[in-house]
Amino acid sequence: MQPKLPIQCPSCSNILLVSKLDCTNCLTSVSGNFKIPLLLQMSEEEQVFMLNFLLFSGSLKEMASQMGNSYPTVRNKLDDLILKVKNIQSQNI
Amino acid sequence: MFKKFTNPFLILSDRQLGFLAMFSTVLGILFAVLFHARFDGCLDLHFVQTSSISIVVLELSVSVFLLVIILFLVGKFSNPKTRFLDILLVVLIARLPIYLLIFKNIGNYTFNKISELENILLHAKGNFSNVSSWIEQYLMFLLFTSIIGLLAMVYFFILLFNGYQTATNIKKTKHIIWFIIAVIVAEIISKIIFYQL
Repeated sequence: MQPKLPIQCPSCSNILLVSKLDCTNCLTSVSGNFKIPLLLQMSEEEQVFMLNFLLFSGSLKEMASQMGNSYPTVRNKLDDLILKVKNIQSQNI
Repeated sequence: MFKKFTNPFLILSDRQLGFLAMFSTVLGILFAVLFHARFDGCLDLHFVQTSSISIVVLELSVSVFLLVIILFLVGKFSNPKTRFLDILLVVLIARLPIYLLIFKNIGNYTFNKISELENILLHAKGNFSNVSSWIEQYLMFLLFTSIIGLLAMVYFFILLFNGYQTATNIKKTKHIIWFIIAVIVAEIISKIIFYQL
């Protein structure tokens, strides 16, 4: 089972920072304070949606057909995602 | 499975919704002509002695397009990305429960029953003690017909609201209130138009 990357603090729900990265090849460790990239702050479902949007060249019609949803449903998901990204961007400023 | 019945607009493609809308409308016109029904309002259905296809189509067109136009304008105001096609499909498909109600009048059954009851009450001239036994036999009919009618209207509103919400992506309470007001306004305007006709 692939463990999921936690984004929010389970205690206070604040966005987590990456403080350590390890190289599995040479065992080098890198420490610091790294912000989680915006795209990784999305849920897995949202990331899959964005990936599909890219793979279908932005065609919501094709996405709807492949996902088994109606066009308005897919468009609504996109609009909600755009709003969420804008909110995260404004919080990060 | 349940979601397919309460909100087919989430799942079905434009083409599938288009077929369903056309099928629903043709069925409605056919039943209305066969079983003598009139769509004299956006939310209305009444039974008459006879009906013709031209009147049924005219009344249906006025009822549908009035509701579509008003809901589209309100929807566009709530969300500029609202499409006319989505609202049209929602209104056409939401009317399916109303069309199924027409079966109540097979063989002019409901129309005749209501006419009989009206005659009894008119002849009573306010003195209902003599006719109470007559009225009792109509009570079951009225109860049954009312429950069926109510269930159909509830399903109509479930489809209409869910479809509208999918088409416009509304989330705020004020948008839902605008939707309710839009439906009421459409009904009032349709009654005025039909009264003039």
